[in-house]
Formats: sequence, C-alpha cells, structure tokens
Amino acid sequence: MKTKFVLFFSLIIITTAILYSCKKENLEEGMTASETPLTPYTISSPNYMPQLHIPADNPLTVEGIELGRKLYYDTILSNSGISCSSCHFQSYAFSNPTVNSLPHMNLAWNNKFLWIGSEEGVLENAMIFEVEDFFQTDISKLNNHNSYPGLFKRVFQTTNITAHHVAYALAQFVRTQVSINSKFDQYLRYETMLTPSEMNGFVIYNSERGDCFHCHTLGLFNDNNFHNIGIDSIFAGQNKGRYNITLDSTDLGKFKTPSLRNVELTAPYMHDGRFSTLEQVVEHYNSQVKITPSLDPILTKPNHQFGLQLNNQEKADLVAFLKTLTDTSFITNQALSNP
Amino acid sequence: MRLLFYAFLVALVITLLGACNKNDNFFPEKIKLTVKLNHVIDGNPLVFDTLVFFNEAGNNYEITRLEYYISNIKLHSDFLGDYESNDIIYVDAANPESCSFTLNNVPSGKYNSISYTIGIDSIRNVSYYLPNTNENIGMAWPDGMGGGYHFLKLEGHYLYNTVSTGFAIHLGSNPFQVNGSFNQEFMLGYNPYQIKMEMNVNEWFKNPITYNLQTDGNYTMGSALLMNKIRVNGHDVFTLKNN
Repeated sequence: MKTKFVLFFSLIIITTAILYSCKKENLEEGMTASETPLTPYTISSPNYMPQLHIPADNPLTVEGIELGRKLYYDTILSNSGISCSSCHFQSYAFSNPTVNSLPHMNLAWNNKFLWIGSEEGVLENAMIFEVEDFFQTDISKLNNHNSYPGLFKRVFQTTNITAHHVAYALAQFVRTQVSINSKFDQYLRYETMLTPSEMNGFVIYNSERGDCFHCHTLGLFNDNNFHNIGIDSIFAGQNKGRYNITLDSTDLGKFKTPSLRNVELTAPYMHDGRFSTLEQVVEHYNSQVKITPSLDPILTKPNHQFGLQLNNQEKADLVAFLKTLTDTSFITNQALSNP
Repeated sequence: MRLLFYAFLVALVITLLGACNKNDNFFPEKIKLTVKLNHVIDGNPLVFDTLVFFNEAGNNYEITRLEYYISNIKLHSDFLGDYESNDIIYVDAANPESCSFTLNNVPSGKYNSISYTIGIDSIRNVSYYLPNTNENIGMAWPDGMGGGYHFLKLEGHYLYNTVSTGFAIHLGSNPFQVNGSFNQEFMLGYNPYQIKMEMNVNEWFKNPITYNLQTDGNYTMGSALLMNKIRVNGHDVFTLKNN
C-alpha cells in the first residue's frame, strides 16, 4: 500500500514538473505571463460578398489592426517622407484623384493586386511588395523606435521586427477597409428605396442591356480578373497592361477590373486616368469601343455590334445607379482614419 | 446433457455469424471515385486563345473562357442500381484543379451509363444558394433575368467577315439546364478508382442543330431561342474515355 502511495505521488510530481516546463517554454517564446491574450476581430459581411479567407498565420486581432493602422499613416515606412495615406485618401475611398491610385477598399476579397496583377495571392503578398519594393522600408528605424518594438512584441511576440511583420500588420489593417454600406447595400437590406432613375440604371447594369455585371459582379463589383475593354487600338508602354507581366499577346490591353464601389469618389478612371467623369466612362462603353484581337468577347454585343447603344436617358440612369455605390460611412469611419 | 445443449448453441451461433460474414462479401465495396474532366475540340486538346478551331458550321474560332456547373451525376448499373450525387461542381476548364472531383461511397462494380446536368436543377438554381467564392463569383445570373447561376460560359473570338469578333455562349435560368447522358459500360474494380469524362466543345455547335455563330448569333444571353439551340445540342457533349 505504501509503495503504491509513493508511486502515485511521484507520478503527480513528475507530471506537474513536465507541464510547468512546457508552459515556461511557451511563455518564453511568446508573451509574458502578465500580458493578456490578443483580442480576436471578425469581419462580418452580407451573403452577396464572397467567402472571406484569412491566412491562418495572420489572424485578425484588434491589436494587430491598430498596429497596421498606425503604420499605414506613418512616414516611417518610406525613405522619402511618404506613407500609404499619402496616396490613399480616406475621403476618396482611399484612392487619389491626382496620381490615380487604385482604392484600398474590400481588398480582403481580392487575390490579384495592382492594375496588371503584379502581385497575386493574399494581401500579405501585396503588402510585402509594398514594404520591400515600393517603400524599401528601413526596418532598423522601426526596431530603434521608441514605441514600435513594444507594439510588434505584443502582436507578433517578436523582439526583432522584420519586413514580414510590417507587411502582416499592414495586411490586417487593410483587410478592415471594408465598404458594404452604400445606398445600394441599404436597398438590398430593404432599408431604403432607389429613385426611378437609379432603379432603371440598376436594371441596365444588371442585364444584357448594359452588361456591366459580367465583370463588375454584384457584391464585390469586380471579378478578380483582367479584361481588354477596348480603350486602345495600339498598345505601347504601360497600355500593354497584363502583357507586361505575362508577355502573352492575348493579354495586350488587359487590366484588372476595378471595383465600382465608391466609383463616384475614385476619379479619374481607367489605368491611366484618361476619363475624368463617369459620363465619359459610360460613353466609352456606349460608342467608343476599339476592336482588337484581345478585346474581351463580352464587348461584342448581339448582332455583332460594338457599343451599348444606350440613349441619353439610359446613360444618365446608369450613372445615377453607379452613384448609389457611394458609401459615406466608409469614408468617415473613425476606425480607419489617422490614429 | 445440458452441457451438450450449450455446446450446440455456441456452435450454432458461430456458424450463423460465419454465414453473416460470408453474406457481407456479397455487398460491393464502397469506394471513392475520382472523376477527371477533359476538354477537347474534335479530339484535339483545348488550347485557349488560339484561333485554329472550326465548328460544324465552318466558323473559325478560339476559346477564351469555358466555365460551367455540372451536377446531378448519376451512375447507372443494371446490377447495382443507381448511384446519384447531390454535389454541384464548378468547373473552369482553364484551371486544372477544378477539372477533377470525387464521388464518395460509390459501390464498386460494373456500370452501364452516366447521366448528368450541366447547370443546376431548378430547385437549387436560386440566387445565393451556393456560397460565393472568388472562383465562382462571376457565375451569378442576374435576378432580373431569372436569378440563380450561369450554367455555362463559353466565350471566345471567331472570324466574322475576316475580323476577329467576340462570341459569348451563355446558358442560365430555368429551364435551360442541359440534361446529358451516355451509354458506355465501365468497370469500377481496380484501384485507383478513376474515370475520365471528356467534353468535345464542338458538340455544343451541332447535333441536332448546326449552330452558326455568324447567322444564328454571337451572344445568347437574353435570347431564349438561342439558348435553347445550345441547350438541345448539349445532351452529348461528354463521353467516357479510357484513363
């Protein structure tokens, strides 16, 4: 009996010692015992948006998003005094009217980035490009900063900040730049009505009459794909588009479909900003499509016609509908502004 | 005497159990079947963006996009009965990963035919029935035109009066589902369990209706007449091929 008793207690002591040593090891690798766990953050979206996939190695946390937000607005990222926010203004849906930057909006659902898909995959890939290639961030400035080392340690449990950590924090913040509360979203939620002109524009948009929906798919209002929409008949320089990545002649003049959410705020339009108004854009599709071998087949209308043949009222209605995609709560959201 | 009775009882139970085990062997093994989808044009591999193909009407064409849903796959066996899958499978012919799927718990043995639907049955062809993904987000069919999903997107260019001109053969909305089948015996008896179904794209343009992109139309969406021509041609686009 005594032997059994001794054996039993020996086992408990050994088990406790093993568990304690495991715990100690984890704490040494990660946070200290006094720190509280990171706060998980979830993005909820309506059923007309695609399923959201967040990389397992970069889960959203309140602390990670805040760190990304701080970096987004901080010129420490560059060596020339600029930050992400220098080219992506919240009041323009995180685009820029002068340098024609693509808006930072709903990128969480994108898997191809920049006008010609220079980066593909998840946001982390795009952000690594921004940190290492675009900004060429001097990481030592972050490691020697008075507040960043503590913030990175808290979020990523690291005492050595790398470009990888910076990109992951930025990706977390950019993932929260979500615009899903436009007048059209409210209409879909039965919270408001569209005017007769807006409704007529929606019917044109979402039928073969205007045929916008094939590429600017409802919900995301893009299709994560590349198309030649007939704005050029001769391709040179940047106008070669996706060809500059693939060197495939069938990709000449193809560019990523931009989202039409907040399109009222993201002028000028097209990859080179050649159109300054939505009316000009609609007129392009209506009567100015240029025929080339790589022109998207969808641009050839029934009876082999090119151009939508919309009348003036229909064109005005289409523009009226596009303006229902403006999300004022997105451009005034304090959680996305300069901290 | 009693001992003898119990011994007899035990022997009987063992015998019955043994018989049961033998009967179990009568039931066919349930297997995981891999279905591979291949896409050709009259026996030639489908190469995208290459203006080298001709259809029955003589249209010189190329394909830039081939996407569709295949569902209600049914394997029919005179011996085993029918196996039916409820899965709805999205296929992008340009993406090899989407051109293969598995059917679970398929009884192994000899089969006589396969039937399938290109598209989604009317019960399930309603907007947002399927979870949206980045891959199939472009397959939604506008609510104003009936809602649900595109069943087929076959797009490309063809020579129209010597000019490369686009065509978009789209099917969607009830009742333009394509119900196809083929009678070919095949045996699911050896591992790896796999069959290959091959779509001949040119079958969309013939049998029973010779579809001419130039005279019938280059854009089917919104035209019940044109979609129906394509629908009836689709009944035999697939055949079974040797792996």
